[in-house]
Amino acid sequence: MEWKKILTNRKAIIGLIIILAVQLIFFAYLKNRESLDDITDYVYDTENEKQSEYKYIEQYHGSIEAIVNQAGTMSSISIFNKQDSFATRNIEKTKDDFEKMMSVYPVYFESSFLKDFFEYDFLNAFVVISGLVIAFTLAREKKQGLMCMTFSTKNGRMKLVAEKIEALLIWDIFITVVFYTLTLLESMIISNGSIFECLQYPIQSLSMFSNLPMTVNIGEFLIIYILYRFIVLFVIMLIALVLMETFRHIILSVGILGLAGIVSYVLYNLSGDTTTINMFKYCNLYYLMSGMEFFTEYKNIDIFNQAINKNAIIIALGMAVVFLAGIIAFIIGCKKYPCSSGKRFKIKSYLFQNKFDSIKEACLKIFWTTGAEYHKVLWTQKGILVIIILFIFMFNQTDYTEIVNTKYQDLYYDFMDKYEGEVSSEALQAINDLETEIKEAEDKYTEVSERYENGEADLEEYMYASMQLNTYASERMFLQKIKEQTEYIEELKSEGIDAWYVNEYCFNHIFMGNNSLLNICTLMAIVLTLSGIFYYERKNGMTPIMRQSINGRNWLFKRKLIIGIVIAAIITIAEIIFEISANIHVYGLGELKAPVQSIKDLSFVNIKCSLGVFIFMMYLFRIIIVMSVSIITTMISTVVSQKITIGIAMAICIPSVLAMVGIDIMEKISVVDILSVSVFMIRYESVMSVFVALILFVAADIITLRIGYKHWCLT
Amino acid sequence: MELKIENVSKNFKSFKALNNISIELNCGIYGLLGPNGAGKSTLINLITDNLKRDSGSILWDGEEILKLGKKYRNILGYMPQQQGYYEEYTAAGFLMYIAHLKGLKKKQAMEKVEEMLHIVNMDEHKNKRIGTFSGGMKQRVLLAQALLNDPKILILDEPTAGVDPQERIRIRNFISKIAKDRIVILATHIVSDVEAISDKILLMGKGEIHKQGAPHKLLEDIKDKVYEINIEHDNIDEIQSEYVVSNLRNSREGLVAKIVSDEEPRNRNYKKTIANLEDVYLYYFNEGN
Repeated sequence: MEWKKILTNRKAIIGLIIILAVQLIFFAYLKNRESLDDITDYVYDTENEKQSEYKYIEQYHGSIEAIVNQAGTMSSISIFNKQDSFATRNIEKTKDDFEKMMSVYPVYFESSFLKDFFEYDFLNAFVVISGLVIAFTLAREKKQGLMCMTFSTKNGRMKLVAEKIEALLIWDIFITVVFYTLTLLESMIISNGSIFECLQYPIQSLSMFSNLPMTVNIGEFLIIYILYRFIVLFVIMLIALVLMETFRHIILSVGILGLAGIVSYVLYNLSGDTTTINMFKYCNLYYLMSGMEFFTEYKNIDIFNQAINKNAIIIALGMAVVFLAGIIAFIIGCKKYPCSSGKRFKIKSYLFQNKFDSIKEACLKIFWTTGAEYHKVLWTQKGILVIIILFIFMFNQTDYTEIVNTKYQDLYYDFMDKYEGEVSSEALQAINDLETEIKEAEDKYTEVSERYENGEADLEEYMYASMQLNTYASERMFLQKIKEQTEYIEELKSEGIDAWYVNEYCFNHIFMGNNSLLNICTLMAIVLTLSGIFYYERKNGMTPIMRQSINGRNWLFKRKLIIGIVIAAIITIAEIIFEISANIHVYGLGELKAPVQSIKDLSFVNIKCSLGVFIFMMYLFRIIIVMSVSIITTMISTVVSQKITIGIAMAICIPSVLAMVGIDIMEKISVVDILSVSVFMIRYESVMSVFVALILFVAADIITLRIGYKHWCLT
Repeated sequence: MELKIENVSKNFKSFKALNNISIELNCGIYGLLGPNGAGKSTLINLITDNLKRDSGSILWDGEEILKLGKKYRNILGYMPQQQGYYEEYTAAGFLMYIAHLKGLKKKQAMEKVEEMLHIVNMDEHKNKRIGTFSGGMKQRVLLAQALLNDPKILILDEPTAGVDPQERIRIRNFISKIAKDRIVILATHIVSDVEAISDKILLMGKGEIHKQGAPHKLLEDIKDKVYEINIEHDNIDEIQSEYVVSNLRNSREGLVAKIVSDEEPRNRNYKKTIANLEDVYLYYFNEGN
């Protein structure tokens, strides 16, 4: 039975477990990050959301009535009155669809967990990846040399295809139910909600479904939703299987799927009008996969002057695709001989390959063995792919959005523009002047207030004084902040430590930015890229040949080590460039000559240096630590397989991952956070902590270098 | 030019892979013949310094190879049993890579690679990926890499494994051609390869050298111990349990079994026949002996 093949395929099972774990962790991370980014904003947004949901519930019936009435009004207008026209039919259909919703009474409840679940779009991507893992695993006979055997058996054709499709269905059900159910449960736990309390409420109790003309409750909707996701995934898995059966080439199949995805995305961005061509906006994989618009967007499409709901078209086309794909799968399964050469395709790919190989040979001749070593790591072992994905992720994570400052932040920036640097008399005077101005306004208000109470001032005068005082709200906040900063500087000066005015917004992000996710991804990228550097030779049986040649021991050992260090350094430098450029773009560049102690969180630093030097040292430490990690990874790969090296790295990342999702105690044993050198330093309020960590890394380097050297160079 | 192996032993936990082996090798082709687990690969790994020995010494022209280090590896050419290559490399690209590891300068390497590809008859395939080659073609590429540095010691571990007869003969003839002024150690199960080209044969079993000598000498030792007897089909099992049967063939007179035995067959219609190396192999390595 084909579905059991997956159970015996360790890689596939481990892959599914990892994907499930990653997506659950990522969901928790996103929820945790929302609440930590700015606690004030988070609370404010949450309250706002609750209020708007409540308002929506109150106004629901009104809005339905408005739709129905509008339909009536439009019908009376001549241009919408044409018999058998799409416009008329559209109006009628909309009216009919929404009229029945008048009997629905949404209920207000704590629905954030459900909203988060439905809006977690990444889940759909993870589910699709899992589905593709299954589809490609089922179609691996060619790689394993089994096709010729199975094709010549009694049940090796049509029946085998039928069993594969059956397997897709079974695993599709499993993946859909497990992934979506667990995520819903996780959302419930994080948000402290309960699905069981609200199963009977109409689905329109969530404002995102206000345009859904279905009289179902939340429980029924969840079943429909899971069914929908199941069907979408099945379509994708079936297409993947057909591609694999047709081309018997995993990269080509993935490439075609990728291309289909890009085309879908382009079609998805077509305008949203109701013409027939825009049917393709909705009838494509991206639309189905991406979000909730299948349920949240109501639209009728003009098909030969008929108003057909887009969902009906999607379902019909989907069924047609499934039917067609099934037929193709059967035809291929029965007619495509496994041992046929597929000449035309092979010749074309051969020509391309030849061209590619001759370019590669030319490059290897120029760069010779060093070039060959880089080629092995970056190209053959797909290191370049890992690095590109990391860079895309880095770019995605780096926030270049210009912030809209509040007025008090603007005042702070203005002050710093003028007076950033050593505390000058002009700066102090400016503060005093502002303080005086505010005091005058406060005194004025107090005076008018008293006179108003005594009946000596009228309401207008009182209101004016009050308004005047309120205009100083931002100035007061700014004054408080700048006075705190001034007091801090003076306190340090009294202890004999120099400190200047510095724009804290510029530096806080550099020193205290939460980069845990990026650090983990960088570490894993380095490990994934370098963990096969020696193991690859063992895997290909090259070790005896290399070791018996004159340059195959010490020379090659050093060369591979250097390559690992260079690649790791480049990755880190790129990361630093992203960070600095984003910081400068968003927050500007502060006074780098200021003493490092000018930043309050760095007051513990007992080194006399400027912020610029300190930042440079911080980044230098990071590069050194990453290079150290590369040495450890490269050396471990002389002894163990790539999988074990990656497994060790993942185990090391676990405390950081747990800390990221809110288990704060894990921060204490999170090794990965050393990559955010300043955060690490601030956490322990000690510069020595970084040096200690560095010593430990160097010790690990020495130990692993000895092991690696012994293993590779000595008999 | 002498490679001397003196009292070399190697244990893997409690298993004695090599037991006090001593051999002297000079110019010529040495066939290392023995069953699975005899210790051939262990011996080769020790000679190529891919394994640490427990005791004994291996001397090249009187000097310990461990002390010679790079200098020793410079005169070594090794074709391992396990095919080691990069699938995605072309034949020429792979040989260039190995040439550098063998210490050849770029220009010299290019010339040598061209020469080797020509010698192993792979000119027209030099720009094709190794992953697309047949078994024999891969063996030829691996043979070429072993010869890049013009080694004084050439070790070939199962060089003809998995290749068709024509290819085998080609490789065999090639080895004979290049064996001049070299020590060639040919480790294999395929007796006919060894018989055809070896100057000396080392029969190895259970970690020891049981017998060594020129092929004709080894044949001479058992010339009176090989017989042909006529048997009935029903007696096959009985004969196989009683004697070491090296061959069974049908003839006009019925079934003829070729046996190797220290004693003449009793109560049988037999005649003495010419021994070959397979008979020698069976004589020394049959479990009953």
